[in-house]
Amino acid sequence: MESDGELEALDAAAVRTHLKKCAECRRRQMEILEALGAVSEHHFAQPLPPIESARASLVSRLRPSHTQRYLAVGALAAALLLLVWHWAPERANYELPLAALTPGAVNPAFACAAETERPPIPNAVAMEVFRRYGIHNPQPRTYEVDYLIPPDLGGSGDPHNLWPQPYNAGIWTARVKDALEDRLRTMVCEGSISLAVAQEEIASDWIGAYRKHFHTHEPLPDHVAFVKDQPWE
Amino acid sequence: MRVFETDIALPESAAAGPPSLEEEVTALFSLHRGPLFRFMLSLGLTEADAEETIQEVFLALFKHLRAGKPRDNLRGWLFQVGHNLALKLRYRPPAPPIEIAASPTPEEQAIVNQTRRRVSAVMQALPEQDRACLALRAEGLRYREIAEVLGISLGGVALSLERSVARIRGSR
Repeated sequence: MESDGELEALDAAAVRTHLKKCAECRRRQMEILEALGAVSEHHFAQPLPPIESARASLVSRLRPSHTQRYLAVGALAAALLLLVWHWAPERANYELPLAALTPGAVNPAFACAAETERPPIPNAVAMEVFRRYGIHNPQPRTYEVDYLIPPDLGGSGDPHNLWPQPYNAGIWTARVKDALEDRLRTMVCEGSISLAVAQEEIASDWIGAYRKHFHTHEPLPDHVAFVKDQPWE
Repeated sequence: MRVFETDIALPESAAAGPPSLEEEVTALFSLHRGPLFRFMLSLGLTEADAEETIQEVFLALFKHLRAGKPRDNLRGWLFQVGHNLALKLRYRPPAPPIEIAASPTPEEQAIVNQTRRRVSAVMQALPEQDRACLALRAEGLRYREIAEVLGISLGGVALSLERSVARIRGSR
């Protein structure tokens, strides 16, 4: 153990000092080393089979085959597809639209004096909006396919101005937004706010606009129950 | 007594960047397969079982490293896992003593062969733990490492080696 460095420094020094004085001990030490040398010689005399085939075997076992990789990737893709297919309709909750899909679009021919039409959105257009939002199986009365900038404020029926807004889920529902739309139209037509500002506010963050103009952090109770537009069915 | 590095830094090509985990494990296999193979034989495994066990050891190493587990003293880790896996293959009779081919050179080689046969016979007759201690010691493991691999105390390693040396010396 002394030669192996396992002893504490003081013990090792004592052993070495003793060995210098003890001829019998030195003889025994030599015998031990000779015996270990013979063991080592015997140990390393054992022939080793060539390493190449063993190494090749290990390499192949460390790397999954192309077939296994394709199966693994395919299984993962299928699992993700199923997840999206089954869960997206229930989980999709776009209180605010995705800016990339629904940046907003306006009709330049807006006038307060004119009667504003709010044409129903054709079902084919609604389904296209659902598809773009990854909602493959929309449940009736769950969404209102809503105008981001409402026709009352010059919004157009372009799909870039439409998104599937939750009708009842959460607190920032389509019905609450309808109350904001009425409020902004009144303000625009009274001249207290410009049309462009109203369109910008409602298109960029309608929830923030609601809080600002109704001076509240949460939707007002009357607005939660407000019914202006019907949900998609 | 041969001396090995505890863990050898793997070469890293500046152009190719750091090796992948598969490459690292393969490089470690090239370094440690021989010592592990001899250790497996000392435990009584056949060559085929030794090769297969070593494959399992390195597949376990791959998982170990992929999981981000400690890298210190990987050589000791390899012997320890190899020992545990070999025990699962138990119990098979020890490999027969190695036949040393008769040398055309006369006396000196004959004496060497005689010594090897004697040591081989003594080693085969040793209890398995003593044989494993000797094999690991021959591979350059320190007492403390041997104790960790075999799951015995430091004193146990010292006693085992002392006992084995005494038998080898007594066989003359």
